[in-house]
Amino acid sequence: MKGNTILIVDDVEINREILALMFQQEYTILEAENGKEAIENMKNQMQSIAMVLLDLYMPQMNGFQVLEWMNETKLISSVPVILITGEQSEEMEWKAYEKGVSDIIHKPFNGHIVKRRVQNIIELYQHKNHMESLLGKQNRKLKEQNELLQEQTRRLQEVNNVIIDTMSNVVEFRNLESGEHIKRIKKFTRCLTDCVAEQCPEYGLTEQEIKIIEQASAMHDIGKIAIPDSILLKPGKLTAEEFEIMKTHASKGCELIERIVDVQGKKYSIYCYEICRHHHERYDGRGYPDGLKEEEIPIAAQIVSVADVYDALVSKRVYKSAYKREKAYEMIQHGECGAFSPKLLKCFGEVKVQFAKMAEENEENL
Amino acid sequence: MKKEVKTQLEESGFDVENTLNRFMGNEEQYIRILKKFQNDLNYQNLVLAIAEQRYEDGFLYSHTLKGVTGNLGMNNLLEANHVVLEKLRKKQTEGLEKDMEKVTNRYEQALQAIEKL
Repeated sequence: MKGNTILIVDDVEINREILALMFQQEYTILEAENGKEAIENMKNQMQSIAMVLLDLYMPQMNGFQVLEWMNETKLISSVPVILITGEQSEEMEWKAYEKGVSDIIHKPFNGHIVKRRVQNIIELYQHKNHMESLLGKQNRKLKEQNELLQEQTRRLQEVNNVIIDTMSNVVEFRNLESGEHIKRIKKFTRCLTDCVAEQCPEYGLTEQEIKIIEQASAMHDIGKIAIPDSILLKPGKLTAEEFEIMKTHASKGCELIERIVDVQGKKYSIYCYEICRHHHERYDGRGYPDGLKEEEIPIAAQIVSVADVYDALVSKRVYKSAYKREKAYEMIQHGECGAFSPKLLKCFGEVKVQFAKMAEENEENL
Repeated sequence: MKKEVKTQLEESGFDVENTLNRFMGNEEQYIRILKKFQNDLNYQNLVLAIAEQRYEDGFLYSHTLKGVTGNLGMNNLLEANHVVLEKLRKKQTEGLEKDMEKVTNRYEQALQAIEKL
């Protein structure tokens, strides 16, 4: 809130005095003989000046120069200026209004009218300044709360990521496979999804969705938690009956997902669900659990499916030794390990070298 | 204000009624500040500037004199000065001396009236 001082700027003492007489009962009066003094006064009394009454022609910095300074310092938006001038020129008046003066009063003036105009403008500005400061306070508060909220959301997501990775690792641990499987699947998925997003705009994959798919791919085998050790850990070939039970991990996984991933957001839940349920579907419709075919299979599930098969082929498992990377690539391309969409296989071809590199890094880590 | 004072000022070309409005009807203050005009040097500076042909300076003094005489209701002087001011604004110097004589006459007339207050 601005104070109760009127700054009168005029080089002629008589003029200043006449104006001061008008306001000295209600306001504190500050006088300046020229623009320079006026600016000094404003610098020192920034908070208390409610109004500037400004003459135009003055030695040592004229009225327009004072207005320039008030524009540069943005003071003009909180302190009103009334120009008091003997000049009658439309060009000058227009220029003054452009520079932000609130009103122009011509000399000689009627005291009562000047007094009323000054009071009106002071009240208007006090109201305006008050509203702006209220608004500023509210904005600051809102911003603080928003930051807090974002920080909490971020932490919640972090915690959730840890939980999801932990759950996935539990499966791995029981599985006795490499504990690195999840990390590799995420890497392969990321790489292939990037390529699909670029080559196949029809899927409309955004950067945000790519990230979500990468995260969600960690969940693909979560349903194996529900598979008995006797089947999951069996070193030899599964019987037909056992294999049927093994296959339920896809539907069991997405049941589990429906219960836990709410906090990550709707998109995340959907992708997790799609990946868990459909990463064993085949493009020719002969996969499980739903026998979806071609583009009925969600793209995220198709991608993770390639990543999973590739990783299974190049890794050593209880029931098999690792294939060479080149061999694994050929087997997937020729449909010896599942059936995939031509578009996806084309992308897989594009990232062949990157996949091989990631697999190699993995071998070095073992 | 005593009627004779008012009449006297009006006879010397002062617009007493409107000027009192400017002073919110406060005669005492009006007279006090009128007396201050005795010390105002804008007229003298104007005369000097024109004599030395510093017309731009002259314009500023004349402009200031306009403001002051207007504020104090010295209409006679205001009018005479106005002629000089507009000539200086247009940088016309023809007949300026004669116009200044008129300003001087009215200035002296006004000062006499003020001295009697």
